[in-house]
Amino acid sequence: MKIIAPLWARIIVGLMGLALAVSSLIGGGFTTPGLSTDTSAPLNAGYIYNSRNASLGVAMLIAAGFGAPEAIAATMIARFMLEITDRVAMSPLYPTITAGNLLPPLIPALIELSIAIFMLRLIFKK
Amino acid sequence: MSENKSRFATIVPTVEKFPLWILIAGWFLVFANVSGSFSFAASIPGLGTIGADQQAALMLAARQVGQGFILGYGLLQKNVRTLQFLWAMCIIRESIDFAARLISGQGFSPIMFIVTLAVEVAAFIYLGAIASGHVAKYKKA
Repeated sequence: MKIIAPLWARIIVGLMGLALAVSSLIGGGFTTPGLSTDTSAPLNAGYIYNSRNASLGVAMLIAAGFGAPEAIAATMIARFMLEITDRVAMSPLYPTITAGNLLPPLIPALIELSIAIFMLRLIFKK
Repeated sequence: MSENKSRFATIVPTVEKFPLWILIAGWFLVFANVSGSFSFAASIPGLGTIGADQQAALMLAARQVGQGFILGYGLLQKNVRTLQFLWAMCIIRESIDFAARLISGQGFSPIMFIVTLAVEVAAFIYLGAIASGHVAKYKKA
């Protein structure tokens, strides 16, 4: 029997994917403070960063559209990994942990982890 | 009365094994993503790795591994549509990287981008043909 992910999960993943893809394609995805994109190397890095965000956003949109729990779990695990690494990458810029700099990556990370676990349980329950 | 069917209806949802050239190209890309992650983490060509540069390098390295992880997942799963759209993800990434190369003058040679893009587009189209039942070899009796 084919399992389809519940509508609420598809909507959340689809909206997150849409936000990620759109923000990247309009150039709003690269927000590393202190990095100027006036010279070629940071400019190149900015494009590469946005292209990866955009393609992952599209993958999330497609996974949500098809409603395949396996694909949704894979994209959510990848996004969760990025959220954690982004926070680690921010450590030199935010050496002290405050609610203001911890919660923005932590809240989406928890949503993504919850959806990934829910999907994995759905897959292995079949 | 004949039943109306979408041109994109999936006739072959899963296969026993993907075409060898798609597997080779796919795993090569996963390898390139993972190894590229290390080079990004160490230093993006032309970028120093202190402060904001270091943060950018780590964030890019994470995205490289993330993309490799998802494509690897698609190659191991036997779902044709899932893998087809993961190649769409690769095409988007490659085309923007190519634009970045043209604008910034950094990165791989344009020929390498064109060859990679051609393979990715071919894989996307061929997987679509398999899913739509146009490739007899993969059509189940």
